[in-house]
Amino acid sequence: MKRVFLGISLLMIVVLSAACARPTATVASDNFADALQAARGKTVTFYGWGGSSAVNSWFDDIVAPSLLAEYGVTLRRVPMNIDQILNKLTAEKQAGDVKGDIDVIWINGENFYTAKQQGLLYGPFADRVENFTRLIDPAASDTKYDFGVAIGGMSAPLGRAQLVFMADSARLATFPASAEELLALARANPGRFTYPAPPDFTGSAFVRNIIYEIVGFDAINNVAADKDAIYDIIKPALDFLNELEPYLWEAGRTYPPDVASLDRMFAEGQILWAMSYTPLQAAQLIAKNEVPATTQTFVFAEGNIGNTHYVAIPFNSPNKDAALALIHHLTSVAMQTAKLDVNNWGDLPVLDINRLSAEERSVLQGVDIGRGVLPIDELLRRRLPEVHARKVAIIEELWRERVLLR
Amino acid sequence: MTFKMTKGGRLSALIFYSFLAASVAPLLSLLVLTVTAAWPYPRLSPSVLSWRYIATVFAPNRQTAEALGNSVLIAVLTTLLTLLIAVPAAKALGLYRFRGRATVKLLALMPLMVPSITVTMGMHFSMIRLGLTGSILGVVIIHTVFTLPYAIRVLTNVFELLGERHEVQAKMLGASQLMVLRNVTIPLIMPGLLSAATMSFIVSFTQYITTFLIGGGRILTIPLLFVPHLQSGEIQVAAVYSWLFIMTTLGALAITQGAVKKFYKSTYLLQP
Amino acid sequence: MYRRFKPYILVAPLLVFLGATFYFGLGNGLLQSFGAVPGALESRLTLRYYREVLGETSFFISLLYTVYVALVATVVSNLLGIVGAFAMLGLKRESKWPKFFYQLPLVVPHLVVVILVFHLFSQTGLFSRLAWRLRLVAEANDFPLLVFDPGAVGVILVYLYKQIPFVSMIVFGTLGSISKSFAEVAYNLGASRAMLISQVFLPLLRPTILSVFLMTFTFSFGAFEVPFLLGSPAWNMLPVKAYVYYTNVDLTYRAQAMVVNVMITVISIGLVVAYSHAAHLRQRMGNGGDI
Repeated sequence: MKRVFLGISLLMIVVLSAACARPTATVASDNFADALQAARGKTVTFYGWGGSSAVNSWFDDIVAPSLLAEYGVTLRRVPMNIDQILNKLTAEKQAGDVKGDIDVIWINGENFYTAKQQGLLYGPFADRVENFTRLIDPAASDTKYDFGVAIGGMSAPLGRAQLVFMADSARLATFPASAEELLALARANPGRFTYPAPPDFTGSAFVRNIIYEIVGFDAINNVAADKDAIYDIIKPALDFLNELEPYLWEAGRTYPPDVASLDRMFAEGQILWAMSYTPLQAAQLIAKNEVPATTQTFVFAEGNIGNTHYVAIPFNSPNKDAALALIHHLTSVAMQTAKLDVNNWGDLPVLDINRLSAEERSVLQGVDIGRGVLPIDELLRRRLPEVHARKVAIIEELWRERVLLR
Repeated sequence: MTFKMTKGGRLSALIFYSFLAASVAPLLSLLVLTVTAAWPYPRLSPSVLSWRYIATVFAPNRQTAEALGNSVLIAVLTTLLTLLIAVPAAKALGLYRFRGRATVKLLALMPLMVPSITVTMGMHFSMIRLGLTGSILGVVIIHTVFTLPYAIRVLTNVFELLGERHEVQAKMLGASQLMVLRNVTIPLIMPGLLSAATMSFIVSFTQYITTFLIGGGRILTIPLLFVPHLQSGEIQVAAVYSWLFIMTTLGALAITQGAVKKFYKSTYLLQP
Repeated sequence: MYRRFKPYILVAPLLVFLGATFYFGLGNGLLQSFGAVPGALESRLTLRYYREVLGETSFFISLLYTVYVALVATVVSNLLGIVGAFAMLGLKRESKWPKFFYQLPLVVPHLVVVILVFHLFSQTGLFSRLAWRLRLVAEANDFPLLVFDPGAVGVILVYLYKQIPFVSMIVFGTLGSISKSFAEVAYNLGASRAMLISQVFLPLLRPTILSVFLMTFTFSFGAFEVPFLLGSPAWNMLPVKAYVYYTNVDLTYRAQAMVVNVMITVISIGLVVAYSHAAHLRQRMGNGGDI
């Protein structure tokens, strides 16, 4: 008995003293060449949403092998939602844990805002990544701001998304090009339209899109992030959504909880439209036979919300050089082209066309974007920016209070 | 052993088998889903089949093997730790009437009544400080917290029904403490041990939030790989993981039950 | 001496383990609900978050809603589970494999059952398609909404699938250990099956049934994953409410999440303590106790 007790005490002392030694966080190499050198042979751990097989495949089957071949860095991908990633980082920051598990995170929007505020990110690092300085336009609004929050080199763009709508041209003769047309269409087809309930990412974007339609982007962009002030501005849009409600699925008593449910209802012919943040989604669905081949993508005439998604490095990344190598690789022409290909992910590139060589430009433009989608330049022409992250949460709250719970 | 009612066998059979069908049929339809590429409304059977989803899950670089290995290892370790702690405690709770017995029982059952997120978040911080996050040990510890109530409940019941007389008699006949434990106690409580071990294994195997908060993503288990697909509507991939899950659990249970049968055959002591 | 302390020594590992892990974590959660921030040693404790959360009607609506769902799920699953247990008892043939498969749902994790329920009961699910075949509905939208609905039917179905076999197995286990002599004597004295069940078995099963009822109720009350996936966006059950608070971009909502979690815990413990007291009282009044 005594020996057991002694053993346990010894064990506890060892464990506790190990926990008390507090090392400081590592930093990346000063210049890029050194970083690549130091990264060789290391593993970079990437945490991001794992719910799409297409995205997972792109990372596992295209990015990982080429990363290893070109830079000798192994990619380890861990599926985790961004809110849980931030949870983990917050707890680690509070506990002073400087040797974390994550090297690169996939992030955007309100989450970037939170992460930056809480000091969860390492940086600024972007200008130490060669492909970033070479291929990304520093003056582009999405290089400087993420949901209205100044980026300051704390994250690097990975791809561009845009809210798009999809409908079957064989079942719907005309596509609604504005909020008013949507209302008319819903009236004519009661119970056949709906949208995902915020705080689903896509549903939230749809509500903001309607706000832009009804009150205009500038109005909501310029107002302060105060609940009452925002309510005054967006009230007409909320009234519109309330007017729309009785003609929606289930008369608006409930809404599908996420975009996946909405798209499923569309695929089954229950609902007449679907939406997605992946602009080329229709091509993938058609290729997989999940929706009719006559499905078409469309946006509102006044434009749809587009945003960019980014990668960032957590403050306690254990392999910051390898992180830089991965981000460099993700921003390369080869990877951005492969990413655009509908057979892989179908995500729009972030590269500055003007900075590409003629050859690189033609490769990018020759990529197969599949059927049933809008041409990229048209998407980019009808693309509206996002408002500040804090307003997004407030808008979601107001929608819930004034539309859902009425 | 159990009382058999000889009348009304047909009604019983009707009820039992319809419950059985309701339990098993959905799982069969899940199996169909794993190979379904398209199943449009209002068909009652899929229109296009495909091996694509199974291929995705079992592709070599898809971490499925790693996750499976981790899941099983953690479940086994959790079960061992649980039994190690629960057996002595259940013995005390089941055989002795001591002051505070009811309180201890209540304290042991509490993890069932508190949302696991609360406790896990409360422990997360300290576990980081102790360096237990991201380690198998840390995950095993947090799983054990939630398997203990089941084990205690089952084993306490068993000890209560058993009583002390066998052990007392063996000791009177000269057996040492260790011999009593090995040759008398354990065989007698074996059914309870099995039941407790089964529940522990299952509870640990199905843990999601705890593994992911404490494991931090460094420890990949099957639920971690499978849940993202649930929310994105990729139901076929989720179905493949589900079946993998069920098969592994059943496999582990079959192995355990088989091992115990052999154990019984090799000892000449009581049959349950 | 050893004899006297033996029970305490035997339960020591349990208490130490749970104390260092579970109760420590619970304590932290409690502190956080009072406004303490982990890592900041001197945090001012306050009742402010309790006032904020409990001051909103939405909290009580959510509470009642959660009770409704948990109660329906528990009552139905316990009733049917007991019926199932008696059915197993009455089976003529000794059936090992059917009994094994009856327990299959115990092995299936809740999240998988969510998929099952969705696949079967959604408006484009198998039952809807069957209904269409039988010309009961004209199109998918006409099939009643059983998932994401305010009535939480999908959530309840998930709980039923898991809990009915669970209740059956536990009740059947106890039925098995009830002494044969009681039942045989009553049977030989001419008791009908109904009388046997109501006068002999059910009273003897009462403590087990109450215990299982409590276990299943507290689980349905506090579980989060199922209502999160199948519940209605408009009606939040308490555990989902806690999660929504917790994942709010504004970190000060953490404390409120903890308040909701603490309330869930308090209610669950309250029920168990009430049961314990009732059981004790009954014992003291001599109306039969634990078997």
